[in-house]
Amino acid sequence: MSQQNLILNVQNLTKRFPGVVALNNVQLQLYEGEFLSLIGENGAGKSTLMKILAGVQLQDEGTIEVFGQTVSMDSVKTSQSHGIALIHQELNLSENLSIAANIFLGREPSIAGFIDEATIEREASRFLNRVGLQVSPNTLAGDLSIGQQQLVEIAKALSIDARILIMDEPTSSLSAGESERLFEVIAELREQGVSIIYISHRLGEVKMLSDRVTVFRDGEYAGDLCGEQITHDAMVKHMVGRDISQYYAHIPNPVGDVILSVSQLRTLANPEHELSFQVRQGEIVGISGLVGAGRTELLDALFGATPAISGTIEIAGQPVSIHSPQDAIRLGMALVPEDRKGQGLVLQMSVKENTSLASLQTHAIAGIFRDAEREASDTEAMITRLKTKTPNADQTVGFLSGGNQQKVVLGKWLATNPKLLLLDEPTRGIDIGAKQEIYQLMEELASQGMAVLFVSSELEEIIGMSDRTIVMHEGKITGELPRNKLTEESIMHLATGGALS
Amino acid sequence: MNKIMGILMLLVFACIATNILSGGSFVIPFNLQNLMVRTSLFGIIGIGVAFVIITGGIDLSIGSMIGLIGCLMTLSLMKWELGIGATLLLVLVVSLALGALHGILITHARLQPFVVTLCGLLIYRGVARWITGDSTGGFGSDYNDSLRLLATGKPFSTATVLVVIGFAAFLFCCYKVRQQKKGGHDGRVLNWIVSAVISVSICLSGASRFTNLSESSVLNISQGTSVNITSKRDDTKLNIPKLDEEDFGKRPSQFMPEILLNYLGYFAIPVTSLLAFYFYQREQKSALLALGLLFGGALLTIFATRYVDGLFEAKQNIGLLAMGSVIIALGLLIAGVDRFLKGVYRTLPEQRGILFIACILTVCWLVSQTPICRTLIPAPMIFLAVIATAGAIFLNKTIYGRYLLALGNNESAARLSGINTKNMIILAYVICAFCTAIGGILFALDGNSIQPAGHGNFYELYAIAAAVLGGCSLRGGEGSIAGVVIGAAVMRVLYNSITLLKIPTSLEFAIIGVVIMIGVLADEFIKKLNATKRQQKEAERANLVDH
Repeated sequence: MSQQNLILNVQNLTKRFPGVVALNNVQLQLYEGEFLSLIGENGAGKSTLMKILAGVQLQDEGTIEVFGQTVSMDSVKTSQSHGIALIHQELNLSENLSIAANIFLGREPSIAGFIDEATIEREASRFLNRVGLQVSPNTLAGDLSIGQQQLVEIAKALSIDARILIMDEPTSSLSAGESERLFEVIAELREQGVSIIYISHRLGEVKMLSDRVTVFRDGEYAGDLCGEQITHDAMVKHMVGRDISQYYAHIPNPVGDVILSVSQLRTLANPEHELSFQVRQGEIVGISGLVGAGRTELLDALFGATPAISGTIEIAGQPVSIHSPQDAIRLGMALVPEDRKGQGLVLQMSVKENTSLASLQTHAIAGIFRDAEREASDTEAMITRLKTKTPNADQTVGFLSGGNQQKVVLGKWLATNPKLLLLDEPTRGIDIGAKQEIYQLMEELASQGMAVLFVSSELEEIIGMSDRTIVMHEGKITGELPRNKLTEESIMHLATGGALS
Repeated sequence: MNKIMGILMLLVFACIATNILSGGSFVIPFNLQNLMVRTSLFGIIGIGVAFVIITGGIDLSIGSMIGLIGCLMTLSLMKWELGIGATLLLVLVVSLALGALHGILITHARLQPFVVTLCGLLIYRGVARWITGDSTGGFGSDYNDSLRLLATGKPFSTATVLVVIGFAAFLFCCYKVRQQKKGGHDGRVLNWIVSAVISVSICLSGASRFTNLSESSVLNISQGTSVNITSKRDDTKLNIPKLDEEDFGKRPSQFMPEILLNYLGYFAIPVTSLLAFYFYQREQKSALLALGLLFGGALLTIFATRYVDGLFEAKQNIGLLAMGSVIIALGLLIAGVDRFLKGVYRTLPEQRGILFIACILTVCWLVSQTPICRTLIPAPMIFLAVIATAGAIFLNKTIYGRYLLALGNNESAARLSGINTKNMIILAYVICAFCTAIGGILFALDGNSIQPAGHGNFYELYAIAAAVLGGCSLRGGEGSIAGVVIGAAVMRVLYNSITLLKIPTSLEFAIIGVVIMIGVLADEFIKKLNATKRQQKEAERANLVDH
């Protein structure tokens, strides 16, 4: 480990919000060239600390020393001038501007008031080279993949001469390949003397990459792990304050009849490939593959969100045509979409209004009037059943944590009594406690005879939860693996286009 | 409810300010009746466009559609002589079809609402001018006693409304008393009994006004030609007893304190009764004392103002009496202000119900004591009431209302929840077209002079302004029908005040623009304040639960 100089030293930091202590007397140290991971469950105070470091918020107590100098981080500018750059989980690029324009947004070099395009382009390509992104700086940011956009964000950070790079869940929307690429870039940056603070829920990555891990729990510092100490179990133990021995609790159920049978389905996104597979009652089927493999598009086609071009879908042996989500819901299907905030929930509405949204029609009085009592009782039942942590049913969903928001989406669908549950990245951006509860729920539903088809980019999750896994590569199903053959290697082999041996 | 509080205050403020500044000419029946007609017409089209705005869309074609409707009606009735039924049917069918067309173009052809309805604005205006040959049309006097009554009739007076409200409130209070007794909440029974008593008093004061209204109010139904004449007739025929409100309102030399005192006197009874509720809640013994005291004082006031008028030479004396009871009330208020405030903040939902009813009754009482009571309710007001009630029920109580709000906030989440968002959006445009049709028919009948090039110009913008003032967000997903109606009323009161206060009419657009801007800014400001407060609170709670 390259621990020579202490470049960032946070001591006794406390941050209070009305009624809540978000950070209580926490500490954090960062050495030059170090890769430090910061982990903790949602609400542990990681993001608050990062916002303070980035100058978005001011601490109430405590000191921050950067390169041996005590600094008051009163603005983002101050933070940047001390070489700190924060890359948010949600990328902040203007998709209608070129990469170069994005990198220099707000700091455009100019000649006599006109933007100096040549310099911008030259400088931008220099930074793009440093992050290993081989595209023209004139490409529109919107035309890049999420992974490439991430690299542009890093290039932007480098362009302000960042010495400390804070990354908040950078891989949450990247495919395995893109993540690899990102890790390589990070390694190169470290050689150039940039220190990294890395926030992630993916403990596998953390274990692989980190020199040191700092753990927060409930707004307090819960300890550091170094080198050999960084193991999956140790991290989980520090995060939750107890052992979680049974991370994935899946016990295969005896499977029933075929509930969903898809043959020669062609989706709008990948019309050149025909997809065929079956799902049985009580079965949990995983769909794995890299980002862009057509997994979400497959679920969208099944659910009628983007109807399929051709092919047959049979539900319980009956051929059906699904042209819209209404058709799918009528046939007993439910889809928990990947983009929870954009597609799963109406963030401005309450827990109750969201929970009832898909089942209002079924319970309508005289076909048009809302059954307010039923709505309230259904919501209460779902809150109890899913252990949703919300002050009451009228809470605005936007203010709930990710895990609880996901429970509201699940509640909305369970209220429709589906026979086939489609889950797209059901545990993305959710803390361990809520993940566990969602796994338990999947387990419980499957044991009651519901069929579950879920897409996940986390291999551990696929291996842990599925009875059978369908692996996709570039719009095509490259193979199906039964539970006993599920290993990271076998999945990645198929996901990268390898053939089933 | 909280959302429309701000705009409601603005309306009340605008009314009171206009009335005071105009020396009382705001509340004379002629003015109020006109105001109600205009408010109703703009309220109706405002409700229509609110549904479209809730979906995140916009309808710019309303004004031109009103022009087209007016032209179609004159042609159909006067030139083609299709008869009343066929004409109305024709107008409705054309409007609904155009609304559906807007919706289909927006959802299925994926055009932007702004563009579609902008084209509508241009096309319908052009068609209206073409089919009429650009000549001004009207209904002459042929339909004065039949169809035009829809817009110009004045079927009953405010007094009738007060009687109905009072009676309804009385029934509700009786029901509540029974319910509370059953539930064993003896403490709250008294509150409802007091409410019931006040309800009866409103009923009575409303009914007493019937005697003040000559048969002319009934005859009025068939006297729509000139409102001016009608109002004159009102003045001459009304045998004004006891209190000369009409007189005091109109006297130009009247100066403000006197008017204020009079109004304060009117406030005394309801305000003191309200206070009594709260004292009773807090401290029963002193409350009973206060109750007796206040009612004594209040009764004295009403007795003085209404029946012993002759004893006192002038209004000042009544004012003095009123002031006296107000001072008693104020003294008690100050003594118990702390308690009072705490009481308001900590009221149970049950007590809030009383507060709400008491407020409504207070307003009714106030109205019953002013010349407003002699105002006749114009027929368009009934259309507005029906459409607003139906609209509010649709938006708040049906699944489709919920769907509209949901898709206005997040269309893809709504679609993935199994909502046929395209049909819902088309429905919103059809509702808008329906309201425009009703509004357009009434506008045409009310005006009786339809210039194809000018009839309805800018009306879409007034409708949108009313909706926005009423709390609709142009981003979609937000809005209340009551707010829109109040928003429309604010606009019309402003217009009215420009006339009454003799402000140069060339300034009218500028003034209305500025006031709307201030209204919306204030609304945003209040919303932001509330939102940060609520967010803090909710985040706090959510956080607490999270840990």
